[in-house]
Amino acid sequence: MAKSKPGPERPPALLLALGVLTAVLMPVHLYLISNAPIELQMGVVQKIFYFHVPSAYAMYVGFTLAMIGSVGYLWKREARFDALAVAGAEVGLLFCVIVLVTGPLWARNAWGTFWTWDPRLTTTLLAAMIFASFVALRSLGAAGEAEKRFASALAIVGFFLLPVIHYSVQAWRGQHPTVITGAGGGLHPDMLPPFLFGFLVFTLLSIVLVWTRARAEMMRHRLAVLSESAASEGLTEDAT
Amino acid sequence: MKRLQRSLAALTSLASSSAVVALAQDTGDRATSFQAVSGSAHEDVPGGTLLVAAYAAVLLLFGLYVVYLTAMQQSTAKELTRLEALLTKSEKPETKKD
Repeated sequence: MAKSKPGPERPPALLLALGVLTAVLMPVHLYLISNAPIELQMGVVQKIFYFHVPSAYAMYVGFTLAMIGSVGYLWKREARFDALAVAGAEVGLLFCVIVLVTGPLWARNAWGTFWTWDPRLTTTLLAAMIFASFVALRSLGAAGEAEKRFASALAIVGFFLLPVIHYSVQAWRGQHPTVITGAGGGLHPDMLPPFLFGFLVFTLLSIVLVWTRARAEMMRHRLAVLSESAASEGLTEDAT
Repeated sequence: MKRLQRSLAALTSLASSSAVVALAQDTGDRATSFQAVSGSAHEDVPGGTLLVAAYAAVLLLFGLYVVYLTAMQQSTAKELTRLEALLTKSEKPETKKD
């Protein structure tokens, strides 16, 4: 029988501390957003920027971790890399969905339409579809070795879309604003605190979520190992 | 043949007259001209509502994901404990034999 640590582990103190810190900082971020100045041309709807852009950044973090985990899994075939890939892809997809929900709400007011086939919007949607395929593939029943390898390849392919998303505005010209990355006028100094604070909060949030999800995936891996042991000892009927 | 032609002509005139009546009634609700203004005169969708909707969507998505994660962890932990107990129970008689 494969030996494993008895019972589910308690979450590490650092993870708990980060979770509490994030929960405390989120209302502070909301307070900073409410006190941020109103933009001259777009009005109050521009404040979506303070959580839309950090969400996009957290999406990059999640998808990058998914790629690192996938490369690690294809190379070493270790469960911890697979757990990192699953956690990164799922959390990245969560932030990607947030980007794809908050962006159109902003666009409705700024552009007069919820959606346009702008290069950045289109490539972001494509990345969402690739990582949604990853998550769907890994969610359908018990994933075997082939599913894990195929999903890893998907995550690696999806990762190469990230620079395309980032540079699509400059390369193909679109309607999407380029306040941070472009040669525009930049941000008003009073807009910087809520924006930078947003990056801090969403970075912490992505770390907490990826860590928690990776732990859950490791538990599922242990469960799969134990189920196999139970089956080999003829306890399958009792185990299921 | 003449009867068919007559009935077709009657149908056509009926359809065209009803269309004219409908058009006359509709023009009251419909824009009949376009006039240009420089810039938007007012917001057709209030920005504040969209901002609140966007933040509410963010909180809702986070909340749903945390609920999903918690439920997954709880069910996995429960199943792990049950399986470990089952395997420990099955191991005990073997150790006694040794």
